[in-house]
Parts: sequence; C-alpha cells; structure tokens
Amino acid sequence: MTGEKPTGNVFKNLPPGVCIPWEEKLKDLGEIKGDADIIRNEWDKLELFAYLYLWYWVQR
Amino acid sequence: MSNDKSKLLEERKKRYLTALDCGKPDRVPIGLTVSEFMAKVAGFTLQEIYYDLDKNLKALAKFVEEYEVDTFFSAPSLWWAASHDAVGAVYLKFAGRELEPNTQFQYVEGEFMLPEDYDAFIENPTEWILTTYLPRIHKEFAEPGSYRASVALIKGAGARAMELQLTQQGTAKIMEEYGVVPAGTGLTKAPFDTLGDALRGLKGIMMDMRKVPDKLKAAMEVLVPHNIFYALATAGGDTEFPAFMPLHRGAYPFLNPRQWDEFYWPTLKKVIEGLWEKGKRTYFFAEGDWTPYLERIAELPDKSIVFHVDMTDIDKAKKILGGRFCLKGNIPNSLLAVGKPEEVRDYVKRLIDEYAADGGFVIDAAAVVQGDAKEENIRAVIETVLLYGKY
Amino acid sequence: MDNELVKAIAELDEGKTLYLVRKRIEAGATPLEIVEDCRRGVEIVGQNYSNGTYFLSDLVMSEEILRKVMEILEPHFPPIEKSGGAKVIIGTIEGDIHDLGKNIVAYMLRSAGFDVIDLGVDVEPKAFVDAIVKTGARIVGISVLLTFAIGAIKKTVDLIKKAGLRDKVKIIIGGYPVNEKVLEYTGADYFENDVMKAVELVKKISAGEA
Repeated sequence: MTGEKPTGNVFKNLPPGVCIPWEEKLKDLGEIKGDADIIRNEWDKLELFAYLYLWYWVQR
Repeated sequence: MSNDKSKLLEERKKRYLTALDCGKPDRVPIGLTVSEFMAKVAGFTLQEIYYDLDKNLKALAKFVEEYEVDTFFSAPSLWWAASHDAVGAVYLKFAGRELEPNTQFQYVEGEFMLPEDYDAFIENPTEWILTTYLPRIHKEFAEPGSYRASVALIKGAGARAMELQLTQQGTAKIMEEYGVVPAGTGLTKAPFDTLGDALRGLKGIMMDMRKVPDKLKAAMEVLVPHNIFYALATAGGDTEFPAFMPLHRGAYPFLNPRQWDEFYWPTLKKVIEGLWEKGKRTYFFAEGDWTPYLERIAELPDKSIVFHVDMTDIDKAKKILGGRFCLKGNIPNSLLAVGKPEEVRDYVKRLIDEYAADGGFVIDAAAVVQGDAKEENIRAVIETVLLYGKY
Repeated sequence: MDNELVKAIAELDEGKTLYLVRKRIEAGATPLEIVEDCRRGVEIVGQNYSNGTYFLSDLVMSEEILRKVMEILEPHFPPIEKSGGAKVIIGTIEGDIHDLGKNIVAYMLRSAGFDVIDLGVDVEPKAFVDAIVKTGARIVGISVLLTFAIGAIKKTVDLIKKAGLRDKVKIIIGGYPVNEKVLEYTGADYFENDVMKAVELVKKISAGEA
C-alpha cells in the first residue's frame, strides 16, 4: 500500500462542495476587471464536480 | 412526451408520493428494487451491462416496458466497470474481467483507511481522499504526479462526467417514454456506514468503537454536513423523491444496543433530520433486521423516511412506524428465486391485506432483486397487486 | 487456576488479557494452560452472545484479542498440535465473499476443540467435495449471505451426492438468507441463521444427538 503516511492537509475544515476555496483562488487571480460573480459561479460548478468525483469513491 | 405517457407518469407519481406521505392512493404502488434481474430480462450477460453503459440503460428500458411497475430504482448496474478499470480499482471484481461473464460483481473489503488517518480525515476529508485514499484504492493512481496517475485522473474524472450525463439522459427517457418515476433521487449513507463500508471496513470500525471512540465520533460528526450535501447534490437538487440510503452496519446483531445508541444513531439521525429540513425525504433502505431499533427510528419527524422492510419484523414495524412513515417491502428474495408463482401470489396478497390496507405502503422485494429471481415470480407480484391492490 | 484471565477475555478487556498472558508466561505457565483459560473465556463470550448480552461486534473483538494472544504464545508453542477434535469443513459458497459469519463460526468451533478446515470464501462446489475426500470430515458447513449464491449450494449438495458421499456427511447451511424453503431447495440437512446456534448444532451432530 502506498501513501502509508498521512501527508497532512493544505486546507482545513472546508465545507461540502469545496476542494479549493474561492478566497484562495482570488489571491491568484489578483484584480478582476469584469464581473467577479460570473467567474465565481462557473468556478463553483467545477468545484462541485471535483468534490463529487472525490466523494464518489467514499460513498460507493 | 406523448400525452398518454405524461398522464401515466403523473398518475404513477401521485400514487407513489401519496403512499410516501402515508396516504391511500388509487392502488398500492409497485416499487420493485431491481438490479441485475433486468439483464436477464433484456438478454444481456452481466459483463455486458457492467461494461456497456448503453446496454445497461437498454436493460432498464426493456424491464419497464415488460413489467408494469410504478417506480424504477436505477439501471441494473450501479457501476460502469470501465471507469473502475481506468483507475485500477482494487475494491471491486467484475464479470468478464476476473469473474465469469455472468457472475454478480463482488466487493473486496479492506481497511483502506488506517487508524492513524483519523486526524487528517477529521481536519479535511476532501483533501485526505485525494492525497491519501485514492492512491491506495486506485492502482493506476498509486503515485500521484506520475504519468500513469495523471492519465488515470483524467480518465476517471472524464468517465464520471460521461456516466452522469448518460445516466441522466437515460432516466429522463424512462420517465418520458414509459411513464415510470424514479423511486429515489440522490444517494447518501449513515456516517457510520460511510466509514464502515469503504474506509475502515467492518472489522476496523468495530475495533475503533473500543480503541479510538472519540476519533470515530469526531469523524462521523465531520461527515454529517458532507452526507447531507452529497444526497442533495447527487439528486441534482430534487426534493420531490427520497434520497436512497443503503443502511448496513446498524442492522441487528452487528452492534450491541449501547454501541448503536452511542455510535450509529446520533449522526444518522442528524443526516436524516438535516435532509428533512431541506424538504428531502430519506429512503431508509434497512438491509437486514432492524427490529430492536424501531422505537428509536420512530423518533424521526413524521414522514421524513420511507422505511424499507427486509428482515425486520414487519408486524412490529407496522405497529411502531405505521401511519407516521411509509413502509416498503418485503417479499423474500429467496421466495422470488426458488418459490412458485402461487406462493408469491399468496405472500403479496397477505402484504396487501394485512399491511397496506390503510395506505402508506409500497410493494417491493425484501432486498435488491438480482439475477436469481424467476421471471414468472416477478410477474406474479405485479399481477397480484393489479388484481387485489386497489383501494 | 487463573480466573482473572478467563474474566478478562470474557469482558473483552484486551489490555488486561495481553498483560496477564505475558505475566503467566514469565511465571512459567505452559501455552496449553493459557489456551485452556482462553477457551473458557471465549465460551463465556459465546454464552453472552446467545443470551443477547453480546453482539457481533463483541465477537469480532474477542476474535481480535485471541489473535493477539496467539501471536504472543506462538514462539512458546511446539508446532500447533492438532486439536484431536472432530473435523469440520467450512467455507463461504462460490459467488459470495462475505466471511464474517463463517470466520466467527470457525473461530468458535476451534475454541470448542473442533478441527476446522476453513476453505475460505468464494469456494467452488468441487472444492467442498475434494475436501471431504481428503480429510474424511463428516460435517460440512456452507456459509452464504447473498441470495443469488444459493444456487451454488444446491450444486454443491448435488455434487456431493454424485460423488457418493451424501450419506457420509451432514451438511449445514448458514447465513442471512437461509430458511426452511432454502433448505428444501438445496437439499442440505440443517440450516441456521445464528452463529452460536450453529456452533451448538455442530456439537450436537458431532455427539450424535442431531
């Protein structure tokens, strides 16, 4: 078995549906010239997909 | 959708939902929870339905075309085997790969989460799943960052998206073309089962109750909001139909009553109540015998669950839960497999007379119907309900 | 007489059990004496299960404790001596890989002095026949959880018949889906859903009382 040692987490206590918090992404994006909500909405959709992909293997 | 099909859909929906609300519809709904049996009906091998998504959905269509049921459960295979091959899954064996082409898939249980993982899991389960758990259960993903692992991740995620889309289209087609409604939308588990099924394993979690009870409890508390969220998200937000919840380790006699009260029930109750607050009912699929816990289950808000009767004493279930919660069940699968149609008829008639008479009842098998059920026996179930099930 | 050890096992106290086992080895007790006390402790665990005080999780715990005791005792043991008890073949039927019930029955039977031949899970019908021929066991236990695997039990019983061994063995089927109807369909001799009752049944058959 690989991954024998727990590696420690980058994030703590993330709510359901989130893999990388939007606030964290905002830091990378810097200044947003247009409508931040448009960007965030689509970001959240793909966040949800990634989250459900990961949890699928646990809730099977 | 043709007019008569949409009328049929409305009729069946009303029949089913009325029963779930403990009312009396026009007749007792037929809600057979059928899986691999459909492959037999459609003339496919199990390998075909496990591997070929198209055939998997075709088998469902064939079943609802030939059998007059009010609800459908899912396509016969819960898994698209190819997506598990793509990632190198170690916890399932499939027909046609390591098993004979017409053999039921098998779970390989293991301790894929170790006792020392609890802290990281409690801190952030989502991240732990990716960094620690997936490399253990997916051979192709054993070394994250490697070429093979990256390809496996692309394929795994892509497969999931394809599967979801095809399944959504397929089930929408079942509703439109055959006027049959889903028995449930979305899936979730009791937090104890999330840990006991795929993570710690049966033996592991039984040890944890004695050795690391506080960590186990903390992990289950962390799971509560995730399990509520997972049910709603996998249902695509639907709250009309119940969320499917297969319940495993809470069955008698796995846990002693003290353990059940202390470990199994509190977080399960929170998940069910949390869903109910959002308007989502839970399909409490109580596999095995739950008789000793009926009084506790009765603590739940009225109508918040559909209680599936498998080995649970149905008289006690009726007495303790009846009127407040819809009951569903309980034709023994061994009767469907080795019994005669007359015996099935007698059994179903007795269910209608003794348990469905005042409403709030859905006819189903005791457990998921697999390839061992005889076609004439499934027909006998339906004929009997159509004949005697009118209110 | 060390009732403390019997008690520690009966109460599923892992720490205390292991401590007592180590202490007794140091004091010069033979592994066989220790095993005998363990057996008595396990017997009480079984009784507690039968009378509804203990549940499956408790049986699993006692199995785990015993496994650790055996690990401690292993280096002190002469090569595992055969128990000399009656032989019992046990296995989970082909198509099914659930082993909890089977393992607990095997473990309880061993504690009760039986010589258990455990064929494992997903056991094909022919393997049961081969084991009967090879070991001469007179009792065969077939475990099943999944109803669709019941057909393979019938196949096994038929194959035993075909091999001319049917009147030489008693066949018990056990597990969640078995009942009178399944018994009749498979052609086995007995059925039992309860782990401890299954152990009692084997004892009775072995003593010629069933």
